[in-house]
Order: sequence, then C-alpha cells, then structure tokens
Amino acid sequence: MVVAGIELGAADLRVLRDQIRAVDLGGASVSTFRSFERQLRGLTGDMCKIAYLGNFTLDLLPPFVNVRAAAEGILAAGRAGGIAQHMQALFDPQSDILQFAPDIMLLALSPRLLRPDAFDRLSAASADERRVLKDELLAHVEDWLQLALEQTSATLLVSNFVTPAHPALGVADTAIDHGEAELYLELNLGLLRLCRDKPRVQLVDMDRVAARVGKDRAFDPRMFHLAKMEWSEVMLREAAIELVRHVRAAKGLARKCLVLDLDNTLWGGVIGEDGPAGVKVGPGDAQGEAFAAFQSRIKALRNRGILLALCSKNNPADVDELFALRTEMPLGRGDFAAEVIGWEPKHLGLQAIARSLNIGTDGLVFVDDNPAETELIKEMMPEVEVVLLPRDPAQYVGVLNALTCFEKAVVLRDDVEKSAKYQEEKERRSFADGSGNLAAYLAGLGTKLSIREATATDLARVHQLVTKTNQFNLTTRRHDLGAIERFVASPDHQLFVAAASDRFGDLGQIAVALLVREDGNLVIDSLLMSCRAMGRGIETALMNHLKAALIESGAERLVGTYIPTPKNVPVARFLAASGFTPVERREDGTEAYELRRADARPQDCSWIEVQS
Amino acid sequence: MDRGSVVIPADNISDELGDIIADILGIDPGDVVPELARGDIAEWDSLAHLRLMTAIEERFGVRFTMQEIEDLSSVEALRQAIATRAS
Repeated sequence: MVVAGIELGAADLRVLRDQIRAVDLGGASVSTFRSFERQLRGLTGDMCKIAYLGNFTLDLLPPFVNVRAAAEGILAAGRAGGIAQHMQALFDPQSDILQFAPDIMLLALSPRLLRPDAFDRLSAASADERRVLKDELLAHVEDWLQLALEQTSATLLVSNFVTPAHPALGVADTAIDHGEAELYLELNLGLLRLCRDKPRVQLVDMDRVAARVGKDRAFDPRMFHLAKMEWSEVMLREAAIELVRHVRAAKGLARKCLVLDLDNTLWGGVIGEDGPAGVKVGPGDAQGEAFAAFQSRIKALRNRGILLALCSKNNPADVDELFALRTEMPLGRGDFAAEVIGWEPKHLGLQAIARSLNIGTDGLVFVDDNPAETELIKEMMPEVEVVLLPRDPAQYVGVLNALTCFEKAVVLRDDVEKSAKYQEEKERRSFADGSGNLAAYLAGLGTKLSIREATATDLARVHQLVTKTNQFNLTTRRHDLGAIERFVASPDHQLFVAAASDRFGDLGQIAVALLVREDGNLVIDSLLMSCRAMGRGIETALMNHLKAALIESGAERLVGTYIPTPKNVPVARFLAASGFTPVERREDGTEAYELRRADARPQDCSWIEVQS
Repeated sequence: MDRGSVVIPADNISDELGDIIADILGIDPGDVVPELARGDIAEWDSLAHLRLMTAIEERFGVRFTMQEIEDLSSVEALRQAIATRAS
C-alpha cells in the first residue's frame, strides 16, 4: 500500500506517462491517483477535452480518466455537467459544457433515476407498462443523441445500462414476460442499435465493465445514498480504462502491427532445442492448449486490420520446417505480413519490419517472453509498445486483452481484408527482388566454411588479413611476418585460417584466429574476419571451432579481450554474445572476458556448412 | 485492492491520517490540525470528503457506515474512529 510515495517533478507529459505506467494503477492508492492528478494539472499541451453528462454524480470520474489517458500519452481535461442536466446543457449555446467545446462527450444515465416512480413499481407493473417504459427510455436517449449531434462536433460516447445484480423477483424474474432482466436486455440492445452506424457515436459497454469488476463491487450503496454515485471507486477506475479505450479509438490512435517472438511466445519450448515436432502448441497438453488459445486470440486481431509480424532469433530452416509441419496451429505462415528470422539484434529486425510494411516504428507493438529482448527494445526504440509476457502461458491471452493500443472505433470489411493484401504484397516483393527476408537470404547463400590450422603456404595471406582487417578485429594486433612464422611453428600457439565459398563463388581465406596456451588457459590473441564475409554468421562458426579447440586441449578456459578502436565497433559485443562472461573493464577501455569449459557451447549457424 | 486489516500504533495514526488528508485535499500537512473540519476550507467539500473516506478505509483497512461517513467531519473525529477500529 502506497500513501504518497510518488516523486513530483514531471516536466512534461512523456515523463509523467512513464511514471504512471511504472505503477500498477489497478491497485494504486487514492493518494497515488491524487498525486498524478496534481502533476497533470501543471501540464499544458494539446488537450483532449472530455465532457461528462448524466443523471448521477460523475464528478469523481474525470480525474481517473485523466490519469489513465496520461498513461497512454493523451493529455485530457474533463468537465462534468450538472447532475440530471444532460439535456439542458445542450439546449443553451452559452452553457458551460458547450462553451467548453468538448472533443468527446460521455452520456451516462441511470434508468432508475430517470424514471424513479416507474422503477419503484416495476415488479407490480404489467408487461405492457414495462415495454412502454423501455420505449420511453430509448426515445429519451435518442433525443439526446439528436441534440448532441446537432449542437456539438464532439464524438459521443453513450454508456449502456448496468443490469441489476439482484432482480426484485429473484430467480423468477426471467420466467415472466418482460421482467427486469428482459427489460434491461432490450434497453441495452436498443442502445446498441441506436449507436451503430453513426460515425460520431460509440456505445460504451459499461454493463460489461461492471461485470468484469463484479456487480456487487461496482455499486456502493453508501455512496449512492450519500451522493448519488452509481459507481464505486473500483468501478470508476475500470470505467476510466474503458473510456480511454474509446478515446483512443475516437482519435484513431490504434497501433498498426503486432510483432511476435516465436519460442515460448507462440509455442512452449524452443525449436532449436525441442525440434519442430517437440514444441508445445495444440491439444493434448495444458501448455499446448494455452499457447493455442494465445495464437487464436492473436489471429483474431487480424480481423481488426492489425498486421502480424515475426521477429525471432532462430535458424530460418527450422522455422520453415515448423510451419510446414505443425499445420494444426491456429496461426500459419500466411498470417504474417513481415518476418525477420535471424541473428541480428531485434531492434534492427523491428526497424526492418516497419520499413517493409511502410509504417512508422511507433506503429509497432513488440511481444516477447525474454526480458533481455524487451529491455533492449525499450531502450533502443522507446516509441515501440513493448509487452513482456508473464511466466505462465495461461496468462498470455489476458495480457493481450489488457492492451488498449489496438482499439478502433469501427472495423471495416477493408480491415479484415487488409492483412490478406499485405500477404500478397509480401510474396510479390520477395519474388521480385529475389531475396525476401534475411532468413531466406542467408539460407539461400549456401555458405561453406573450411577451418584448419595455418601452414607455411598461408603465411602471406594471414599476414595480409592481420595487417589490413579493421572492423571485425577483436584486438587489432599487427603481427609481422616473423611473428606469424613463429606462431605456426610453436606448440603453444594455434593459428587457424578459415576459407569460405558460397553459391556465387569462392570468397577465399577470410578469417584468422590465434590461440595461445598460457597458464592452463587458451588465450585468444587475435580473431579477425574480412568485412566482405560479415553479416552471415561465419564468426559464429569460427567461435564454435575455438570452443571445440578448448574442449580438446583440456585447458580450463578461453580468455578473450576486446580492445576498442574507432573502427572495430562491430565486434564490441561479440564475446558476450558468444557466451563469454565479462571479467573486467579496464581504465583504458579494454574489456576482458572468459569462457569456462563447462560453458563452452556451440551456437547455431546451421545455414553454414562447416568443414574442418 | 487489498483490504486486509492493519494494526497501526496509536501515535502513528495521527501522522498517517495527517498525510492522507494533506494529500487528498491538496493542502499543506502543517495545516492539518485536529480541529480542521469539513467545510472549513474550500478543498474539503463533499466530494473530497468521500474520496478522503475511501482513502482512509483503504489505508487503515477499516470500513465506515454511511452515517459515520456523514458524521465524521473533523480530523480529530476521524483519528478517534480509526483508533477505535484499529485496536
């Protein structure tokens, strides 16, 4: 429980938004809300003006809405109309509400307060009388709508009626003609139809919100009797979320693309370890069912016109195999409008996806189970909405449901077909430029690599690489020919040279690695690669070879150093990415790493055929 | 929200209560004196009073009747009501 622990000092909406998002608003104390509200009042900017009209006390709602809106980067200002003056407010052009010139206007009515006598006598009234009551109430709302559409240019949010939790007739209520339950059902159905097909009108399903909260919790009789407040504090908070969803939809702020990880996101397990047949998705197993339910829910997003994309660190061939094999999964390859399957850091993948879909990166939502990935994207791309999945796949659907960033006011036929159009476009494009996505490209290269220990005939080329290579070079040690000769001859040194070729031709000798036996360790004196061989994972194959050499040698650990230069930034993270543990960062900026035998595991680079 | 009961030492109630009142009403903690009552200042109007009561219920894990919400209108009265329940 927090009393007043939030630091003030937000300079602008963005900072405040991040502060608000760091707090679980659902469980936050009243004080926390008040603190945020106060900070909000100090902000100026592009305001979304929201008017609240109705026949019960709505004054406590705007602050909750303002805080929720701020969490979504929307600066909202609210004005509540006089109680039960929702019609009057619109008749008079000089009225407070009309002068406020709201962008959004909410109408929230309590039917009981609108026709108190009729509702008092409800159980005694005849079916016909109840039908007449229903018609009157709907006509009243329709009148208000007409007036509001004429008098303002605001988007109108019409709240439906919260159906009572305890009908006066008890369980017999549904057995009679036009009982309380039926009355409310008809009322809400009538409202639904009234609001449909009117572009500036949205129905707010408050009944569903109250059901989520729990109808007994949504209503606080003390507050109702004291202040004509129909909604309890917890209901106000939930209602605020729902209203902000509608505001987002009204402003057309829906994000465009959901980017998904694969392993432990769309299925249980890791393809690289469990194999395409071993990952869990589908019937027969609770985990599998949970993942299948998640996939189904994701697929349904396509019906809103949301695009789906994949960004996964995996072997492209494995992913191909999985989609080809597991055709029973709710999601198929064809559901994705863009893919990046490879080994590059994910922020590059997301940028590539945005480019290929021709959307801004601020239109992306990124979902992953790995906090390292989500933190990377949060840091590198703060404009992306990042979702870290919880530990339990059974909760995944809930996480998706809680997202507000995909809300749209209306879903058009076009939206449903949009995803299909993107798929066609994607296929057409990959046909056209022949390379498709990175994954397909790498696999298609057909890279072959041979690694062996250098002999006298290799000296010249090794020397050339050692002296000329700048970018992919861990230590940039410019050994002269004499030194290289000694390394070849020495039993304490292993000098490796790697040659590569691919579908298009022979690349020649493109990489050198020098290991020195020292104090029971294998020290990587040099590791370098020609820049024309970069970008296809050859360094991974080379490192695998060094790890194997470690195991074979019986030495305790591989020791590596990164000596930064202005040119060798591409290798700054290479040792860490290869599984090395950082040991020390020295004053001169050099970084020492080590890899113990037990941790020396090869990494996947199966798109390269290695001969050694 | 978790409404589990919380046992608060008597001398802490005043401090906690003072913090909540200052926070909810948006006034200086130094102005929260035992005699301060609803209606004395513009900030403590009827709606603020309801928010205050909700915050107190939440913070101290107590529940007031409707009558109490109406009647408990001074800082001192609130403190006593909380102390009675919290023991």
